[in-house]
Amino acid sequence: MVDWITNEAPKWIVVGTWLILNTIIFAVTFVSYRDADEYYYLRVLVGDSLCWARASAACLNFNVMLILFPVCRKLISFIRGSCGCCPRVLRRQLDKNITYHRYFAYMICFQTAIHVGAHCFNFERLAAAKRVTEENLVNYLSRLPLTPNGTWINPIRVADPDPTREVVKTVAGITGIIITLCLVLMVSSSTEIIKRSYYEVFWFTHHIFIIFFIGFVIHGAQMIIHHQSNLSAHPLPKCAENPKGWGSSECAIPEFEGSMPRSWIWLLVPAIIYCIERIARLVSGLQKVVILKVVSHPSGVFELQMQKKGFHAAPGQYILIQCPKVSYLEWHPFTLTSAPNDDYFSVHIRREGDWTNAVAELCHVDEGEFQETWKMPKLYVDGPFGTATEDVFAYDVSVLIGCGIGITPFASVLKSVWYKFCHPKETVPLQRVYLYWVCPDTHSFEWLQGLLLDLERQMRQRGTVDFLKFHIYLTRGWNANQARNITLHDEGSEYDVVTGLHHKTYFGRPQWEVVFKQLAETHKGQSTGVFFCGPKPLSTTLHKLCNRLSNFADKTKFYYNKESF
Amino acid sequence: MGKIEWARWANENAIASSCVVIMGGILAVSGQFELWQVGVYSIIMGVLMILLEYPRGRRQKGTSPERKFQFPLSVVVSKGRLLTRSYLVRFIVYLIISVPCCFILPTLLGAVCYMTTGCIYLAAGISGEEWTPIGREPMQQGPTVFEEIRRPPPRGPVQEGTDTKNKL
Repeated sequence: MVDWITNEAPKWIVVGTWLILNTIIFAVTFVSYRDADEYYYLRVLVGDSLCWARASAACLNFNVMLILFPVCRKLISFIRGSCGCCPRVLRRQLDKNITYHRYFAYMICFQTAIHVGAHCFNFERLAAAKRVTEENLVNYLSRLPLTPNGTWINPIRVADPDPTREVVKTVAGITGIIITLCLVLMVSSSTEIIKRSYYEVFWFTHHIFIIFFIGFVIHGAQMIIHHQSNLSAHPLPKCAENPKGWGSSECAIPEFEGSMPRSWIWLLVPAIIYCIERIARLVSGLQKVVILKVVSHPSGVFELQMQKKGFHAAPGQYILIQCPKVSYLEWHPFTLTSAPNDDYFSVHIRREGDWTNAVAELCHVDEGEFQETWKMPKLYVDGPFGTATEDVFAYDVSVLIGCGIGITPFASVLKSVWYKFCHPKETVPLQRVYLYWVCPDTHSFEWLQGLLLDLERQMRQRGTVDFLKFHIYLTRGWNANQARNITLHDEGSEYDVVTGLHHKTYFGRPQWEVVFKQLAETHKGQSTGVFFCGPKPLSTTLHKLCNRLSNFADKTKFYYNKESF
Repeated sequence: MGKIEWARWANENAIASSCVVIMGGILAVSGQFELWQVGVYSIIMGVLMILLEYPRGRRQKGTSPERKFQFPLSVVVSKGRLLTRSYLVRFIVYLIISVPCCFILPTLLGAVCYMTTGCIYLAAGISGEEWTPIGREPMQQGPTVFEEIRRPPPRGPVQEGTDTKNKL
């Protein structure tokens, strides 16, 4: 039976509430501009497009206010760590912060499209109104003010206007073009392919949001949308029927004034919170980090063991590292591979690009001999930032699935789980841990193989071989020699030929359907937490399997958690 | 992360800008204001540019993921030789096609977006990048070997809870 509610409902409740709020804001603003008497004459000039423009502007205010909150990492980590009630449900929604950030961004793009379109119509119609020669209401309105002290309703003040030129004469027009261009640049540099291949382009371009926010706040500063301010002396719609009679005791000449811009009110609180967040990140990033040890591993991987005052991390969290000697602007994320119980924190860095190679050289990785601490480069560390693996103790059974480099956070989790199992300070529900590691080959993960060997050995010593179970799947395949070697040695050997573990290696990709069905069978009635770090298509498959195999009837529940940076 | 290839970003930006241009064109045509014919031009240009930009080029380093169904367009675009290969040509093209869009309000934003795309392509051209099609490698025929052991022991689905050790 599909137990969709376990995994999906909270997210859809949040999204549904947000969509409903947007609809309400849009509808209320639309109706108020459509029906308000003070905008009667403006509606005569431009029609419905005024309502569309203002309603979308209200939604834009709302979403631009919301969009900064999901990216306040420190704030989210703080809430995550300290919420007492409904912890798991709320924490799993907080993990989806980047998803929500994207949803808010899509809504901003959608509302921007409506807003820009509506204002194009507005300006074209205002320009057309200026060209009307017939003596009608539109003409009268566009000719205002009739006296030197009077006020205008049509912001276009020249006789034969070109809408394009008029728009670029206004503050709203120029800021509108600039901030929409910023939005297009931010969106185009945030696509998956750019984020994955050239993270710096995404990171630096996204900081254009500062220009976006400044432009957003001053967008309405010129106050060119005027409403009528003397409705009591000029009752509507009576006086609209006879514009020739304006100036009499019954119908005074209509007076207009602009409204104060309100966007800054929406933005004030999130802007302050975000500034505090960035300052907090800067301050915590500047505290001294001591490199205790640099360990060189095979395949171009090196490990940095560090210490920093007041640093506490939960299993599976990540940190951002900056090395000013290499670059003042770049902060790179690395998953922590040490457990909270270690008296240092460590990351394993693979030498792949310019930054990692430069750091390796500064840490004297290639020199192969003991180096003094003063020779190590200065590093700054920000974080740790939370991920889903903190919850691994909360379930009866935890299934950790890592693909390729996605296995890295689970190193810390395994260490932490094993430590807690050996030194139980309080009882946790966790009874069994399964690790599924899918990779093309174990190249550049020899250090993790070493950890698994160690854990297996310790388990055999304690006699508790059932607590941790590893399944390693090598997907790249094998050549004829390897195949021959494996077939010859596999039958009689206790140890796996490839990894040296007691747990045998599998070749090829796992059949997740079969794996999950067996897990559901073996652990009927228990809650199983599935933690995954790897490519999206597999994440979707596993997510669906979790939903499908969760069973209300016998309380078998699969909770899906995806890690991402 | 490696050296930045501006062309990748310019490509994404071009698609986004073309969407803005097409939307502006639709606005202009539906509004029927003065010079609405520029809207028709914008829609056509936007669609043409999407067709030009849809096939991704080969990356200098690393894997080059293709867009869905891009192969036929990739073949067409590669027939353009220097015109489609050089990013400096694309920079000039974007500047030129954005000029008519500046004349009416609905497409003004699209014009500005196209000029920005052109500037990013200028950066790409100056860096010496070029558009090369992602080729299709022919399937490799392995040698037929007689009686060679090819398959290592397949590991059947293991019963969780039972001992995985061999009974020998």
